[in-house]
Amino acid sequence: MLNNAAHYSKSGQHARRRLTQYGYPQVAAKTGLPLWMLGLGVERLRADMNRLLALLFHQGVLDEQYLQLQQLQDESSPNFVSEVVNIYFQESEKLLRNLRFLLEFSDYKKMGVHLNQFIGSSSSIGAKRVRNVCVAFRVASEQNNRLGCLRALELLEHEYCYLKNKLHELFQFRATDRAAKTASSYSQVSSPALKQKPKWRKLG
Amino acid sequence: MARNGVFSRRWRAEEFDYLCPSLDSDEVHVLAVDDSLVDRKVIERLLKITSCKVTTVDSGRRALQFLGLDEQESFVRFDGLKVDMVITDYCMPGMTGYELLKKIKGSSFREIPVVIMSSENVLARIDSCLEEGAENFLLKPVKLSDVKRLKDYMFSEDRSRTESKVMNKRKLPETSSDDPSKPTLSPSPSIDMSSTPSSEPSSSPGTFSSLLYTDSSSNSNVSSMPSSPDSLTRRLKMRSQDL
Repeated sequence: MLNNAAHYSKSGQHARRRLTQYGYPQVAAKTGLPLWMLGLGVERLRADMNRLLALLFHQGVLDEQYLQLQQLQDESSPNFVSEVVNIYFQESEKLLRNLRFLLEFSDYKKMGVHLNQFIGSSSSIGAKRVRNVCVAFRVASEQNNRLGCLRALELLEHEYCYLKNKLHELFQFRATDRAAKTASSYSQVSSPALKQKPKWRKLG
Repeated sequence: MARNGVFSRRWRAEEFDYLCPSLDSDEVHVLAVDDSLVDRKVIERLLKITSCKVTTVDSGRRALQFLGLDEQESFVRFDGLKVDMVITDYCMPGMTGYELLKKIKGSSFREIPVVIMSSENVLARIDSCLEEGAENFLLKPVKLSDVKRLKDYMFSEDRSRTESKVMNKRKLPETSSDDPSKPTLSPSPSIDMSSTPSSEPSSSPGTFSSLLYTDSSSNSNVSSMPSSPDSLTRRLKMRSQDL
């Protein structure tokens, strides 16, 4: 399993590597493949994706608002979730940098303003744990508690990193799933290599 | 206010997130105001899915400019960009949602319904917004069911505007299965939600206090509720289950 999320890119490169891991070597090389083998891989992939999502809910990393975002995604807006989440990542990293800077100068009031923003955007995408740490952080800043703020900031950075890695994993699952769908439709359409009598099944 | 129809050079289209030059008169046009880009994206999508035309702006000042209420005379509106509703965040730098509400209600656009969104469930804030003439108050994070209910209530044919304002705030946690999802929406992943230990009713803060507030207000307003009888029954039933 790819575990270094920092190197994830939006290219199909990782998706193809994932395809290989799920038993799509031929698909990755764009030759024909018996459909029964494609079917098995897709199911396993989806099971893994759902397991990761369930784990994140169980851990309280995500809450129902994330599901709400997924409901807003459809054919007319197929990348909605990743678009919103990527905006969230950009905004959050700016906020984290500012928070660290403000803590150096003990500007608790401005920290509160940034934290309000962070709380708002985190709750909008369903990032429950990040949001909760921000709330605790805000309490410490209201008390001008420097040590408390320092600890909260470290915890916040840790939680944010964890969230980012896991969401990237989720998006990679989706990309792999889509690549498999595209590849399977490709091999259905143009399959000169398929010698055996094909039993055409539409993949879910 | 200069409204001679000439496009002023000083109005740059990129100041607004979304510009709709041509408008179907049947479609509801909503102006969404929020300083957070994440929230703007979400509310825009929520409104589009409920078949509204959406314009998003990032501040109260820009909202006033868009409406043509800005003090500067150089800004003009396109003809046909009638705004049917304004939905705004409460906490914004510069002009808050409350101040924007007051400005709109004190202008020639006072008939335009204004909805306030806030992540903080502060009763005093809700009260002052309603007193100032806000149509409704939504708790963040805003859900599809909130927007659907809002749109149905505000723009359905049998809506009666004669009664006083009715609170339609989201009172209770609604699972995603409650939504009559549109067929075009992609299905949620098949997770067994019952396995999560976080069995608290809702992720939003202060749901219980909003419950209390809604009880007192809707008891006095039950007769004037324009919503369909079975949704009202469902709400009352759910409320009794929760208490």
